[in-house]
Amino acid sequence: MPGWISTSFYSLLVLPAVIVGIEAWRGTLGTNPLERLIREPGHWALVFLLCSLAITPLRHAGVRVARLLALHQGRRLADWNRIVRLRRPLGLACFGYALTHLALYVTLDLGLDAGELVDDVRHKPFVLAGLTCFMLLLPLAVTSTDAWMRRLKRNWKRLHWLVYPAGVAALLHFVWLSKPGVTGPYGYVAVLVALLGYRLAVRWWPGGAHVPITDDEVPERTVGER
Amino acid sequence: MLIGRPADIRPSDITPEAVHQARRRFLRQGAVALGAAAAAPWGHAETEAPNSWEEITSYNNFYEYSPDKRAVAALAQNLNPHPWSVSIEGEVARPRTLDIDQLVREFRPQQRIYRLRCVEGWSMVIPWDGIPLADLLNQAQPTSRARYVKFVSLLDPARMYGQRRPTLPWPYTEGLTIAEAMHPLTLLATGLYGKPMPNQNGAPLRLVVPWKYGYKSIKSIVAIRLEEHLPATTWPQVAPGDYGFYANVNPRVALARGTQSRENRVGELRKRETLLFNGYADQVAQLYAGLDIDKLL
Repeated sequence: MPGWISTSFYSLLVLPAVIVGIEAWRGTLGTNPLERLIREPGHWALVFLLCSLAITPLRHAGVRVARLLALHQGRRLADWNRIVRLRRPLGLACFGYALTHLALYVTLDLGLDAGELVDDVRHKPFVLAGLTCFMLLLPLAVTSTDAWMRRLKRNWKRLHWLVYPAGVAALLHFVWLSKPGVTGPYGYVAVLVALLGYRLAVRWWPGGAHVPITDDEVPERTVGER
Repeated sequence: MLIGRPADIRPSDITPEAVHQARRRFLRQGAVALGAAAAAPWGHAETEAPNSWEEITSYNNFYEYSPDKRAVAALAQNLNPHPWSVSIEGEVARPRTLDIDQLVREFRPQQRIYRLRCVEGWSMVIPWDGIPLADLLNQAQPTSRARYVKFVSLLDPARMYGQRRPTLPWPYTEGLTIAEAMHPLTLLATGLYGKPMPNQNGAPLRLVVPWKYGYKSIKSIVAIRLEEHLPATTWPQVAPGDYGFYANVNPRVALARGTQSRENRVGELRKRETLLFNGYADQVAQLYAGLDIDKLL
């Protein structure tokens, strides 16, 4: 992938943090700065989590389009598999924002009071869902390096299956924290249902698995240039 | 003792905010100097810095327009609250319907700086202008059967866009016991910061019950009805586990959606502890004498 593409892609991932940072610096976070500071990173963690889950369906779609147009340009035009390389930065961005979200909650909201945390977990189901989500993302972030991929071999893929329950936990967190009448979270729920539903469809529908795609991460990464 | 009882505030008699702020500062300093702050009857909110006009008018829970607090101010500009009449009805000897201007002329609004604590976990300090609800009720002469007061908001989907969706059963209703309604802290607010009530804050007439969660402080009231039985009110019908009739601010009792032990004073970057009865325990605890306030939802 040309350097400028990955550079601008990485810039895109940190852009929300930069914008909120500038607004915090200039004191233009709006009427409730505390709420905004805690919520923005949480929102972007969810967005990038869903983006990372969209990579596989996009690859499949790319291959289908290429076949439909009878593009036999070898692996140049039709090779959407390249976008799999976006998945690691997306996953790490998701984790980075989730970590920021948790850190701001623990310091600004809880005031580093462990008793308050216990109370919140006991009384607020959405806090439990959020913490669960973070615990699921943590091992994925840790094992995101090439070295861990090689070390875990086939188990790496098994471990990273945890991104699906993490997605479900993230949305439970969002839905449960929202007050009655707020419909925003359900748009994200629909996206997650579509992304997970696609995987089930590919697995269970006759012919669905025949989309020719190269195998996931491991071979791709070990061959990988860059 | 009422701090700073102004002579007459009519909608036509608006104090510029700068003058008003200077006056507040002067009063606050004066009160502190006299050592009178500790004796202030309104739970010491007088000594806390009020939230700004911008904060108070840009962060509004008003489902009649939208569940999005930041969207309400723009959507509410469509409401033209004149003319506006409110009826006092039900178990009263002298039912009547008052025009809002008539109400303001007849019952001189006073200034009250109160804390407002929302069940969502945020709070503000707001300088209201309003009349004690007791003044209005006393004039209407409640009968011996009047044990509860029910309040009804405007129902008008043409002007209140949020009412076109069945988010809540419209119109919004609220209620108090007669003792709560007659309490001197209970205010029918007609404005804030010396200006007529902004649409997004519940123009032209709203309730303010500072020791209860904000949803009790019903906005844009069109009817006040005295009743014999506990009225069914909006939020307990929608989500009985999360919202009760009494809804006294109580940091010890977690409601279904969470603990209420701390709050986000809008504008502050750290949460602070929530106070029992929102800090008005000295004034209102006797209303619930003999009752277990931790069980009284």
